Amino acid sequence: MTVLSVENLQTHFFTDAGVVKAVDDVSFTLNKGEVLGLVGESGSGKTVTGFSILRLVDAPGRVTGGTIRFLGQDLATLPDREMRRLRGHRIAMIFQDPMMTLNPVLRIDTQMIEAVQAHENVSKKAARDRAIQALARVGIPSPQERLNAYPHQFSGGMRQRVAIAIALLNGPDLIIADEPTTALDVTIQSQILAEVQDLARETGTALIWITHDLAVVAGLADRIAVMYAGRIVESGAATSILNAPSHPYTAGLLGSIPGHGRRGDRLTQIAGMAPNMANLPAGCAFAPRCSYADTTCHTRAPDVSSSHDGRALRCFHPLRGGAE
Amino acid sequence: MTAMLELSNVSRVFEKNLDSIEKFARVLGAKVSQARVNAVQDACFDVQRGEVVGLVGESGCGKSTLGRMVAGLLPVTSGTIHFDGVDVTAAHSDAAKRARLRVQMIFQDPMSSLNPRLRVNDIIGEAAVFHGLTSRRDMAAYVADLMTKVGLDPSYAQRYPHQFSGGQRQRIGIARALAVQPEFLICDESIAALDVSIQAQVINLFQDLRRDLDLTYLFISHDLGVIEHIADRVVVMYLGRVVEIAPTTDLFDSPRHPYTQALLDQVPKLDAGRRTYHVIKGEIPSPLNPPTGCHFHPRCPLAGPRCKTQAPRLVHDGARAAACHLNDGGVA
Repeated sequence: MTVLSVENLQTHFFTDAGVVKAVDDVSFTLNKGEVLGLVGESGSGKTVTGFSILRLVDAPGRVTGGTIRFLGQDLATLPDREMRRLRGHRIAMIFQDPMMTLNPVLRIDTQMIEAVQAHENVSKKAARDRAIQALARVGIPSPQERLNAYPHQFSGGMRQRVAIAIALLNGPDLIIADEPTTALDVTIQSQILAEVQDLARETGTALIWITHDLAVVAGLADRIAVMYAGRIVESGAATSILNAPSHPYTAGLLGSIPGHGRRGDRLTQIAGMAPNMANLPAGCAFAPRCSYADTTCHTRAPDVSSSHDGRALRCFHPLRGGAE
Repeated sequence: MTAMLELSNVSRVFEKNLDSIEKFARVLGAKVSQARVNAVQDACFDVQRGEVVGLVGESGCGKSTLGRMVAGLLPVTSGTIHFDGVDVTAAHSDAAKRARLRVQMIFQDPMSSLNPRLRVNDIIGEAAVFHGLTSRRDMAAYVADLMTKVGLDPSYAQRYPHQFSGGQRQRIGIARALAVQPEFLICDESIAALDVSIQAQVINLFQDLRRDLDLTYLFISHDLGVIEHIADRVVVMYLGRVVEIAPTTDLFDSPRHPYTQALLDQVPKLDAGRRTYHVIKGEIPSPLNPPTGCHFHPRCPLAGPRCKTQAPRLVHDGARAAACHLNDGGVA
C-alpha cells in the first residue's frame, strides 16, 4: 500500500540573490513499512523535501509545483486545520537536534501528554500510560520516573530517544527523520538505529531517513534516493545502489568514504565543491565536477530514466555495472 | 631511537571550586562537594617520527583534552610530555617554547578558530612574521606559497574567512598551522564538520602533506573509518583512560579490549543489506562519577567480579597494549 507519493515536487526560495531551486522536480513513493534513505550533502535539498511534505516551508520559500499525496489525500489542497491534524498524528518528524525540539522549561510528561491530547480525546491518565509505553519502547530505563524529568536532565542520546518516543506516540503512518543520529556517538547511534529498525518492522510505519552518511542508511533503508543540487539524481533498491551505482556522483560519494580495506590509498575525491544554489550551472548540475561530462551535459539537463528493476537515474553517461 | 613525542603518566583534572554560597552551605552541613573530573588519567604512549597515530573514543573520553595538552594549550596536572627529548611541560624553558612551536594544531570548526575580522593573508602570515620565519615585506609571497600548498587560490588572500566554503576554511586552518613550519600536527576532529566529498579532499591533502613535508600526526577522531584509513597506529580511549594501543591493521583485525570490539561492531558499514545491530548496552557514564574498577565494566558483556573493583593496567605485548583483565589474569 502506498503511504506517500511525491510527484514532481518543486520548492523554490525567492531570495534577493535570485530564485533558489532548493527542491526541483523530485518524485518518489513510499510503501507501508518501507524505509527510504534520502541521502545528500549539505544544501542538496533533502531537509527542504521533508519540510515540504509537512508544509513547514517558510517564506521566502514556497512549494511551487508538483503534488504530494499522503494516503490518497492531496496535501497541497488540504486546509490548514486538516494539515495541523495530520502533523504529529499521522505524519511525525524527528529533527537533528532534540534540544531544539523539546521545550526546555516543560517536563517530559507535560510535552508528551500534550502531544497525545492534541489529537485525541483521551484522559490524562490514558495519555500518560501511552507516554510510558512509548518511552519504554525506545529503550529508556524506568520510564515512569523519567517522565517527570526535564529535557536537560537527559543525555544527548536519551533526549533523541524522547524525541523519537514523541514521534511514535500517536502511531503515525509516516515518520520523517532528519539526521537524527548525526550528533550522537557511534554506540548510541547503533542503539537508535536498531530500535528504529524494529519499530518500522513491527508497526508498519513508513520512514524517510534523511542523512548525509550513506553508511548509516546502508544497514537500514530498503531504498535509497541520492540528492544533488535539489534533484534526485539516482534512486533504487539500497543493495543495488550500493553495489552498482550508476550515477557518477553516487559512485564518487561511495568512493570518498574512508575505511573498507583500502588503507592509505588515495580516496576518490569529487573535484570542486557543491554549486551555488542561486546560480546553478546550465545543464546537469553535477557536470562541472564530473569526469564523464561532455558538451551535452553542460547544455541540457538529463531527464529521469527508469529501468525495469525500479531504479531511476538522471544521467547521460551512466556507469555500467558499478565500474567504479 | 627516541620517540618524537613521548607521554608518560599524563593526567588532567578539572575542578570546579565552590563559590562562597556553597562554602557557607557546607559549613551549615549541606552535602556540597567540589566537582572533580579526571579528564585524562595516566596516559602513556609515544609517537615516532613520521608516524600517524589515531586517537579514538566517544565524546567525553578525554581525547581532545589530551590533544590540547600535547599542543601546549592546556597545562598537565601531572605527568610529562617530551617532544624530541625536551620536556615541554616545563613551561618556562626556552627549549620547551621552541619545541612547542614545532607542534601545531588544526581544530574541528574552522569558523570558530579563524578570526572573522582578519583577512586570510594575515591569518596565515601573522605567526610566521612574529616568529621571524618571514618578514612583513615578504609575507604575501610566503602566504601565497602556503595557499598553493593546501590547494587554495592565492588570489583569494585578501578575502575574509566568511567568503569561503567549509572545506576551504579548513584549508586556511591547515595553512595557518603549516606557516610556522611545524613537524608535528594535531588534528582534532579536523574533518568531522565537512561534507563527505569534501572530507575525502581534505584527507587526501593530509596524506600529500605528510609525504611532502615529512609531517607526523596525532589524528583525533571519533570516526573509525577515517582512522583506519589514515593512521599507522591507534590509541583507543574510554572515559579518560587509554584502553588499547595497536597497529591499525592488528586493531581492526583482532581488537583485544571489549570496548574496541564493541566500537568496531557499531560502525555503520557500506556492506549493503539490512543488518542486525549488535547493540552495546547502556550509555557512557558521567565522568563526574565514573564506575569503580574498570570504567567499562557496566557495559561490558565479559565483565567479571574483578572488573568491578580493580582497574586493569595497560599491559604491553610487543607493539600492542590493552588494559583489560581478560589479558591479565582473568576477570574472576
